[in-house]
Amino acid sequence: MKKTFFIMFSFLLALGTMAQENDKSKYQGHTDQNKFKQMKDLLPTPNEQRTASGAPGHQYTQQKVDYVMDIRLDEKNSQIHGDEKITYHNNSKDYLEYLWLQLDQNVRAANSKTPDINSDSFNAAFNGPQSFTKSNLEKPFEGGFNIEYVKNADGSPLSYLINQTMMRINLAKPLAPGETFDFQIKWWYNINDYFNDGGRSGYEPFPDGNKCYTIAQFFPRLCVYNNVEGWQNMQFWGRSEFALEFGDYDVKITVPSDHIMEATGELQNEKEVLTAKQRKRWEEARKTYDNPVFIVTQEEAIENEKGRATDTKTWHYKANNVRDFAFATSRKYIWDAMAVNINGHNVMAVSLYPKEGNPLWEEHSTRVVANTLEEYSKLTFDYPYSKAVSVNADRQGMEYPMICFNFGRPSADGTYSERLKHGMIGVITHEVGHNFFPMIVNSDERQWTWMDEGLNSFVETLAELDYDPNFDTGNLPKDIVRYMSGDQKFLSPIMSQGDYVHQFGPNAYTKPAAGLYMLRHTIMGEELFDYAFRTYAQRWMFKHPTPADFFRTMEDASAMDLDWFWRGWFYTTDVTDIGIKEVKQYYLTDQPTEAAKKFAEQRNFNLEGRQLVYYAEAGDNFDPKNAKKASDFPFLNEYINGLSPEEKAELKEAPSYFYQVTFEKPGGLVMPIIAEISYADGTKERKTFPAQIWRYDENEINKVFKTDKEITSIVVDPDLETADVDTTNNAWPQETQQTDFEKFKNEMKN
Amino acid sequence: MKFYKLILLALVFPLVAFTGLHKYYVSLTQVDYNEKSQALQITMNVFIDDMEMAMNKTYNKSFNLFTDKEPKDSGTYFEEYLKKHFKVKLEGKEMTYKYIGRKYEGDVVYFYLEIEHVPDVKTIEIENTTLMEFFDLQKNLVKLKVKGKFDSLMLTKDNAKGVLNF
Repeated sequence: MKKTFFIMFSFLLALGTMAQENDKSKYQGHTDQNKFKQMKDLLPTPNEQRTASGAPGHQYTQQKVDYVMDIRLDEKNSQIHGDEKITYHNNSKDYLEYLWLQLDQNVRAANSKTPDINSDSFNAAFNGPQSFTKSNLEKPFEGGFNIEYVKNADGSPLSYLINQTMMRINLAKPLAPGETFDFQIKWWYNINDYFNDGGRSGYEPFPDGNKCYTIAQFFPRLCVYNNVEGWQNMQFWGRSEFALEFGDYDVKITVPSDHIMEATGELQNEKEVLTAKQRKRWEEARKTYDNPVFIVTQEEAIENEKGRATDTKTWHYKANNVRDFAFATSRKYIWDAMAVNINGHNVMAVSLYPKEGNPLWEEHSTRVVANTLEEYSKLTFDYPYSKAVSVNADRQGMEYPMICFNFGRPSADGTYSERLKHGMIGVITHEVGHNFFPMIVNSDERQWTWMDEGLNSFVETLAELDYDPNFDTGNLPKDIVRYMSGDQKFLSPIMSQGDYVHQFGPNAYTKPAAGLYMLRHTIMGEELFDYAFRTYAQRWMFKHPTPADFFRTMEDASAMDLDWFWRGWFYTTDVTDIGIKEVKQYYLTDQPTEAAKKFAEQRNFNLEGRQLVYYAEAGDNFDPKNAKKASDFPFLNEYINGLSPEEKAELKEAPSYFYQVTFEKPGGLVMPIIAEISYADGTKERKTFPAQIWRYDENEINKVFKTDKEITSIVVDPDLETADVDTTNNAWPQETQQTDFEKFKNEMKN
Repeated sequence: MKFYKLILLALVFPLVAFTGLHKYYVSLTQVDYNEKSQALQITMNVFIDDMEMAMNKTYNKSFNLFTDKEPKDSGTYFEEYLKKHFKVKLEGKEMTYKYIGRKYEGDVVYFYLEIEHVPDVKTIEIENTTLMEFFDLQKNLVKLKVKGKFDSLMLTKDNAKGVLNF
């Protein structure tokens, strides 16, 4: 029996391969692939530390790390030496067997693995003598931390291990919840020439032997410990930035006595390091809101940089509740400052720059700092620190709490292009803006570049447009088209770890910024967006948010389901492409159309003797010349006349024109349809259909327009709000749209 | 940090004194075959900073693009530079194109080029080595639209030309 069945079965199988395949595909099931599928599969399950609303939960904790440091700059040897006392507060409910610290300088150590993971080739076919010497004869730079000791508070040695850019402190016994651990590290390193060799910090050399030091990532810093990553001790390869705990800093920095310095935190010993004149000018600056006040003028700086002091001064700073510490020091610096009123609280906007930055810097830097603090405060929370400093460092653009390093140098004759000015305004806005993201809304940069760069680039865009409404921000939806329409091989979803993404800039800066601009401007509207965005910023200020906390807050505070947007824009490399496939005009007639006849026949329904208004397509056995108006149908008039006065009062004028528009969507992203309709009388009208219009059919949808006036053209996304990668299908009728090329050619002719 | 090209530049081309700000090395060339006017219409966009550096180095002259100091005859140089670096072959035969002009927008310059009297496009070869002599990471993306069909080429230093059939 079994055997027979088997033979029969195989026989059938062999015979029916074709049929079966058809059947198979017919019944081939699928999982939920809808673009509006909720993000349950992508976001972590909410818990008591991070709630489903996107807010910190009632069990949310975070560690705190306090630093007391004595720093000494050895200008002659370009070395920096540090004595560091660390107090680690274990606020978690976990016992910690070890602590991890970041040794970022080790990325430049002789044994750094960063060069090893980069492939190299003979890129240049030739070298000049200078570049040949540099690439073939120079000894490798002896960078990286030299750890002199790691000790317990009582001075006894503390066991540790270094794995590249990470250092593990081996605790004798686990650190219990609520306990603190004190230890000390003594270290030094050779400062790199960032100007020629790259890097976020180091020194910039000048021909007279002077240097501007912009110093950061300069001390062993604790890694973040939380219930998302455990210890965030992913190696620093040079690109993906930092994850840091908040804490209080008490830092003394000893430098040559003729240096001028700025740093994170408040200066504690003004009297010891500043002249009476400088202190008086500071007093004035604290009361001046309209223009920067010079603390050190250009003439004074030029005079100062001629000398070489051999004695030293110690600048003492304290900063509370910051995630990092950085400073800039040189005898070349000009110094100016002005006060900014942030909701009744005085903040100082400060700039530090060598004469090479002028006249650009004295004109714009401090003013841009002030504008940035005001604009960001409006969109997020009142800037809580006492100051924000912009330091001119050529070829640089890097942020730290209260201080950042920015490029922008005019030519030697003092002239500069508009582009350079815009670049400089852009970089200052961006880096000062980083005070908000990630210095205060302290996301994990190592894991998610977009959370600080993308959010910051977005707010930067709004701040720049406020400084100058014609500013070319480069962060609008239209600006990301070039990237998004590129070869998919070189695209990564935004939700990718920073070290391996292709085209880092557009991926982690422009695309998220353009996406948020689109959310605010086109999808949510300013009112809903701004409230939700501010809620996110305020919920997570001085805390550690994750992407889910952002996505959830934006929805929770606005009553908008944005899962489709996050899923498409952040988790895929899909593109927007929406177009008009077809527009059909319909006319009114009392003669049954072919379509009506067919419809009636299928339903065994007799049209004869029925009083019906038929919608006829031109060509459907119908000549538009014979079209009727609604008022031409006696039975319709009769029906309307039979209505009560109240019912009649509720009626409106009958439309004269009827259109069915088919929108198509070759792109993978769903987006709202924005249609601009032009009428024969020259007027225009906008219609916007929410993205959910694609929920049943994501390829094609129809929409009927009934109008009083004849439609002459329809254009999808006329203001380039949705990053549509192919606008050639955006207009009906197509031939009325002159290509950009032809427009330009005609302009040139005239 | 502000991600700006200098960081990359420092790694691959350390001795160019250069300031500027943009985020990646890509040029985009759109090639459209206009059947009505029987012309191949080409729009190439390149970052101004990159183009200026390339022009300054190539012609040993300060171009100061998009400023009052830009030389009046910069178009002649653009044309010459492009003719050296951007080449189109139709049905195996190298074509000459007309340099129609350039337009600045933000940090990008657009070049408009046109090949006239093109009755049909079957096989097209495009070579684009623009900026590759200066930036090893330069990618020149070429997007084509011919007779309703779309295709694209990503040209790099190792692979600076490509052929497409329509």
